[in-house]
Amino acid sequence: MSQTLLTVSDLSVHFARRRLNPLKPRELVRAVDGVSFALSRGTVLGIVGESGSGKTTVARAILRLVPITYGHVRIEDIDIARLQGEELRCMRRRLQYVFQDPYSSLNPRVRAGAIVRAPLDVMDIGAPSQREARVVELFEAVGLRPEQRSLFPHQFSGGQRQRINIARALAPEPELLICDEPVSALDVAIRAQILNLLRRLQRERGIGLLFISHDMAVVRHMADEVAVMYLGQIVERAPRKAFFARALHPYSVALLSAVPTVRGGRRRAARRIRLTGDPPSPIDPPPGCRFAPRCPVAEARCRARMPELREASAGRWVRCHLVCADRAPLQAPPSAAAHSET
Amino acid sequence: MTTERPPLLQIDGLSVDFEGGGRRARVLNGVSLKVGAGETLGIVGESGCGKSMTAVAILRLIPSPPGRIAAGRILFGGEDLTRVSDARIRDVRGHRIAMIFQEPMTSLNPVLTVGDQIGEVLIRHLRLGPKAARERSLRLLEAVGIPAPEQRIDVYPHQLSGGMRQRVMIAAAIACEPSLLIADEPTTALDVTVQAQIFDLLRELQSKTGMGLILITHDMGAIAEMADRVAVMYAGRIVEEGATQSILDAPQHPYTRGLVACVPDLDAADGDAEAPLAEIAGVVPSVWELRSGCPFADRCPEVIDVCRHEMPQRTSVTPAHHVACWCRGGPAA
Amino acid sequence: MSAEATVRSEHPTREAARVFMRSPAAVGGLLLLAAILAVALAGPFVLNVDPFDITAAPLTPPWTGDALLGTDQQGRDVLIGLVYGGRATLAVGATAALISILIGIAIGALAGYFGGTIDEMLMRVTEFFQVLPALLFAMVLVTLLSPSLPTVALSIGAVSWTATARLTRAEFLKIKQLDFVAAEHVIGAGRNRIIWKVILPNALPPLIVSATLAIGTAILFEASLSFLGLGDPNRMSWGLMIGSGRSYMLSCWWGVTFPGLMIFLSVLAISLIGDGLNDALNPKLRERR
Repeated sequence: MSQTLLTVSDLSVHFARRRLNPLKPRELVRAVDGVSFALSRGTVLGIVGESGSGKTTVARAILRLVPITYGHVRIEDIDIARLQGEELRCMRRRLQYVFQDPYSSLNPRVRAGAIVRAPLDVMDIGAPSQREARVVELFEAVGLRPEQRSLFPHQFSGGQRQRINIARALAPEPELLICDEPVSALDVAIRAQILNLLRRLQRERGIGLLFISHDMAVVRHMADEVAVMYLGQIVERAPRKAFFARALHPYSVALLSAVPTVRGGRRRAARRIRLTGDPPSPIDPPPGCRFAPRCPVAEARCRARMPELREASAGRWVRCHLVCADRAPLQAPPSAAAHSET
Repeated sequence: MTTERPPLLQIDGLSVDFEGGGRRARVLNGVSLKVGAGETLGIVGESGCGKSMTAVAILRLIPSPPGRIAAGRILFGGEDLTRVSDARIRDVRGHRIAMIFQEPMTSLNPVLTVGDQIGEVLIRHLRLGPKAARERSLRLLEAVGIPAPEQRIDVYPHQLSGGMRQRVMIAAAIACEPSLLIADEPTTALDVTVQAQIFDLLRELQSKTGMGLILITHDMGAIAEMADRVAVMYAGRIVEEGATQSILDAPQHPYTRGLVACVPDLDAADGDAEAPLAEIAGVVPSVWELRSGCPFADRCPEVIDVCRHEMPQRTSVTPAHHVACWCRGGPAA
Repeated sequence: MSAEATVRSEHPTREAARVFMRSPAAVGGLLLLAAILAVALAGPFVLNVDPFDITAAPLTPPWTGDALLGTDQQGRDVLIGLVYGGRATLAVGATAALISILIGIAIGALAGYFGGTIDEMLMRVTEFFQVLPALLFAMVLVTLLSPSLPTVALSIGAVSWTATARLTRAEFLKIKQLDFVAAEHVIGAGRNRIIWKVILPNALPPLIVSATLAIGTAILFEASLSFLGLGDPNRMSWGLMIGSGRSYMLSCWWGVTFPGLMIFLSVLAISLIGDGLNDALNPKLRERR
């Protein structure tokens, strides 16, 4: 069960920006900067962060869709950051991707059945005569009717398109599935359908799932372990229960308190931790802790020196000078859950 | 919450038709709403339910053709906005009723500086001179929490972050001190920490100026945080309407209950996080394919025979809580 | 799951054909072109004569003698010339357009897909061809290769592919960023599949329109070359008729007017078709119906 499937160590993705002024040095965008985590077989790791946190770039780097500047991405013992050509193509069978946008991720000129069949054909999986039966099976597994195979993507709703995306990703029977905001482009009422489907398929098939989202509540629903990213770095990593019971990093605490909830309502809003400003840009980030400029409890040392990601207590990793053992420097506002007066 | 004073805005039985290709679709069907001064009305529903159409109809911005207001009244400041002249409605827009949109990048003019965008409104509606307009713009930028407004006033929208652009939009919207602000998914494109800032700002402005606010969103959490009253829309109709607390604590319409239950909640007990989410099966029907009967019938877990043939009337659960459902209504439910 | 989406599964191409057929101008263009093609293809079989034969006294005006549209300065029947000349002109037009489209797509696709140095180099080549005066360059090529129908077509094709290359490159740059292309990488698709089977079919709609219009341009090109005496002197073509009749224009207006009219009608028909295709294949316009 707790066999490690994916190990990411010190993963960095830097982009050089095009110079507008030739006299200035090239600006370096540190989209992902030294990210490390591990994912066990059959478990779900949720990566949560705001825009610009680098969470999507992490996913794309693992899939080799963007060049890796340095660091390692291992599936069991194979470092896929170094693979090229045919070896890389063979490796792709083991990890698949579900895209955020159900509209642009399906080729508009190809029928749904052929889209799901493509991975089987391209990677030459199974006998050609059995592939159609496999496609039928996949359609049923994701809740589509097999006769819908002959339809074109534009004839499906957003939720159904995301099901096609999931069926395509499951076709080569991957061991690792990476979902990048799979529901954020969908209507609220459709999200639950897709989340339930993903969770069920993940459990039934024992797939490792890297679930990327900006939505804390969705991550809480999906993940076994949570990693919070801020400006290209992981600032906190913890098992789900421990994290949502008490987050340690000031950013995690603030992010959690910013989410409006049905039960919390106005009381929650009134007690919210207020972060000022927008996240600074990953171009030339501040020298010390990257969250220091917005952190309500930052001290001088936070601005001077970048904290390391360290194990604050068993299984809980935090990148903050001020966390000591498992005491959070920034206290979460008292829970505004249902047990308080209504 | 709303007292006996006449409401700021009152919509009665508003219906909007779209025609195209020889077919006609009723995109809004008998919508009745009211908003009081200083009050926040939330409108929720999935996309395609008519939330934005309602907002656009209030300002008479429905593209025509193919759209047309088929029936109903929109009473604002003693006038019926469906009947006033084009010149009059232009004066109301942006001056007495302002609107902000989901995507601040596309709703700001990319070739005008921030100061010009806000100044334009002031010059047009309040007949201020350029100098006074700039002075006032600076104060507005300050009021919406833009740091260093003297520098920001001369930048172009693309030089600002999403949150800053939305603040500029709000500054332009409140420039003429409107008595009603319509915010259509104002924070959907923004991060949660920035959303919290925008909500704070809207609340603060509202308490200062006493303007009414219509907040259109799909997020029940945002409704819980912002709205005094909620209207739940489905397929162009209001299916449930009432005080926020009452609706969130005891949703009556199966659609409302679905909307509340299908979103994972951070405040739920930890055990609940493991259980599958409640689902609303199917998708919103296209307005071109609506048949008689309740439009939600095909997706409704509690559907009975009559739902498929006849549209339920609006009934009162409490004097301030109304629902249109055959299985609900009446104090007994 | 919902019961919807059992709607018709119309192929995008068939849907485009339906939109195309709804436009009167496009259908008119199609009919006109079909008529011109039918005459040009079937006419020679029916008449079975040599268009260079002298049939009547030179400079017979139309509607007076046996030759319905008159005869030219050498006594050749203008109508027979039109029927035979259509073949050469249209064949050269179509071949030249095909050559130009193939070169354009190949260069544009490679530049757009690979980007970087390859893109830089291919685009410099494209710019070089763009700044050359096309007609002059085609004339040089024809002269070097000795004028015949294939060399004329080749020369026209070789100088007119730049716009297609730029258009293809732009489409490739746009489409290669879409997620469904990334999805092909994720399922391990190779370069050839991605370029030719995934991106190209999606880039085709504007290219089809441009190819259609390229035929019209090529016909005009052929006429210009023939007019300047650089066409194949042994094959009757509309351009050749105008070219040889130009010095007698005042005494023999029918010798140049009728071939000119045929060129005009052909190019008009093709432009109407191109316009109709543009409306039918452009998804943004299609939404408005």
